[in-house]
Amino acid sequence: MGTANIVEVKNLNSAYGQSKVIFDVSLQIKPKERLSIVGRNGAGKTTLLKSIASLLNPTSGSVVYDGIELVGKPSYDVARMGLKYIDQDKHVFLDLTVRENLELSSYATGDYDWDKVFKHFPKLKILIDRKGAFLSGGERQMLMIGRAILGDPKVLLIDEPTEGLAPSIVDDLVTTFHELSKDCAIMTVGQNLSFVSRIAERIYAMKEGKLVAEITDEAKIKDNSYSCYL
Amino acid sequence: MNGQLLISAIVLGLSMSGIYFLLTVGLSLCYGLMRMISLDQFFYYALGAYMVYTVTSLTGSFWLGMLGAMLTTLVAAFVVERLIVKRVYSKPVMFSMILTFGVNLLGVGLIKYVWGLSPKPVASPISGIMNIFGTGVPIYRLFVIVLAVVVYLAVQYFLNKTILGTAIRAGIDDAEKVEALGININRLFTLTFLLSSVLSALAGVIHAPFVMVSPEMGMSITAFAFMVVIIGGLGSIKGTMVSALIVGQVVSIGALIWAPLAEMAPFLVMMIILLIKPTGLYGSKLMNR
Ligand SMILES: Nc1ncnc2c1ncn2[C@@H]1O[C@H](COP(=O)(O)OP(=O)(O)OP(=O)(O)O)[C@@H](O)[C@H]1O
Ligand SMILES: [Mg+2]
Repeated sequence: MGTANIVEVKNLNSAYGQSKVIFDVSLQIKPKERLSIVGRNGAGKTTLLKSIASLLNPTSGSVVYDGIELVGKPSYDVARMGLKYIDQDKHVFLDLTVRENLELSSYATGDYDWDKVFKHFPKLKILIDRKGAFLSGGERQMLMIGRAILGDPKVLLIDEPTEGLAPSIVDDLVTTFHELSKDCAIMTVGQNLSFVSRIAERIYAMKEGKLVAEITDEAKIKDNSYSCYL
Repeated sequence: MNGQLLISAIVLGLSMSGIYFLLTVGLSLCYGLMRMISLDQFFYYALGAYMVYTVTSLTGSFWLGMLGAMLTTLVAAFVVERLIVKRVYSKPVMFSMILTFGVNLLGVGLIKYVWGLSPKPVASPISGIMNIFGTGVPIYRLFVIVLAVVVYLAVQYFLNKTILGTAIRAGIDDAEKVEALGININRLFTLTFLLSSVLSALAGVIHAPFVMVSPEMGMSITAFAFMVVIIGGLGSIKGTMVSALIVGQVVSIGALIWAPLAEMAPFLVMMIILLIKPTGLYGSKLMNR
C-alpha cells in the first residue's frame, strides 16, 4: 500500500437539470501532488471541480476527502475543512480591497497569518489597499490563490489558472505552484498544455464528461504526447 | 409661492424620505444579496405601526412601543424566514415575489383579525414646535430625519467596517465565491433578512404618528417604496438614500404646487431617470451581472 489518497472520487455523476455533464468519473489525488486535468471547452472540467468542492450537488457517486464523505456537505464546510476551489473567471470581489478579501478568508478559516500569503505573492502586500476592480488579471489570480491558502488547505482545485494571463505571469505561476505543492496538493484543469507539461506530475485527459486516459509517464508529460486524447 | 409653506414642505419631504429610506433599504439589500424581492417587508412595516399603537396604548410610552414593535417583528420575520423565505433564496426572482406576496396578504389578514378594520391613531411622542426661519416645524418631523440619518450611517458603518458587512458586500458581488472561501452564506442571508425586516418595522413605527394606522397601509406605500428602489438602483444603499431624498421632495413639493402631483410627479421623475439611466442612479454594477 502506498500513501493514502487525500481525495478519492468514485463514480461521480453530475448534471444541470436534465442534461448530464459528468459520467462516472473516478480519480484520486495524492497528498502534495501536482495533478492536471486537460480537456477541451465544454468537456466538463469546471463541473467536475465544482462537484468535488460541493459547489454543485452530484447526482450520484462519492467524494472522500481525508477520510470524510463530502457529497451532501455544504461547500463552506468543505472549504473550511481544507479543500478549496478557485474559479476560472479571475473575478475577485470588485468592491473589496485586497485587505478585505484576505480578512474574509481569515474570518472563514480562523487563520490570520498573512505572511504566508505575502511569501508567495509579495506584490499583494503593496496592493493591500487597492480594490478588486482595479487589479490586473495576474494580480487577481494572485489574490484568488493567496486568499485560498489561508487556513492551510490540503487540496487546491484551480480552474484554468493561466487563462488570459501574460506569458511572464504564467512563468511565475509555475514557480508558485511548485512552491505551494510542498504544503498541499494542487489539481489544475485547463487546456494550456505547455503550462501543464511544466507543472504536472500526473495528468488525466477528459473528454465529453469522462476521463479517457491517465498519463503518469514523465517523458510523455514533458513532450505533450497526451494531446492526442483531446 | 409662500416661503413658510416651502420650508414646511421641505421638512415634511425630508421626513418622508427618512421613512422611505428605512423601508426600502431592506428591499434593496435583500435583492442585492439574495436576489429576492421581499414583498413581506410591507407586512413588517404595518406590523410595526400596529405594535407601536398597541404597546403605546398599554404602557403610555411610544419609545417602549418602538422597542416592542421591533422585537415582535424580529420574531415574526424569523418565523417567516425559517418556514418560507429561506427556500427561495437565490432562486429566480419570480419565486420570492409570489411567495412573499402571499406572506404579505396573509399578514394583512392577520392584522385585520387581531386589530379589526377601523384605523387607529398614534399620538406623536414629541409634541413641540421648532422655529426654522420663521416657520413652525413639528420637532417630531426633525426627529424622524435625524433617526433616518443615524440609521443610514449605522448601516454604512456595518457594511463597510465590520467583517459581516464586508461578507455581505462580497456576497452582493458573488455569493458563490463567498461560500467557496468557507463562509456560511445562509447565515448572512438570514441576518440580512432580519435586519431588513426590523428596519421596515421601524419605518412603520415612525410613520404611525403621521397617518392613521390601517391594515392597508403597507399596500398604500408599496408604489412609493418601489419607486425609491428603482430610481436608486437595486442593491445600492447610497442610491436608496439619494433616491429617497428625491422622492420625498417630489411628493411634498409636488403636493404644494398642485395636490394630484404628489401621486403623479414621482412616476414622472422615475420615468425620466430610467430613460437616462435604465439601471437607476447607482445600480449599474449589479445589473451588469
Ligand atoms: N450552469 C449551467 N447550466 C447548464 N449547462 C451548463 C452549465 N454550466 C455548464 N454547462 C454545460 O456543461 C458542459 C460542461 O461545462 P463545463 O463548464 O464544466 O466545461 P469546461 O470543461 O469547464 O469548459 P471550459 O474549458 O470552457 O471552461 C457544457 O456543455 C456546458 O454547456
Ligand atoms: Mg471551465
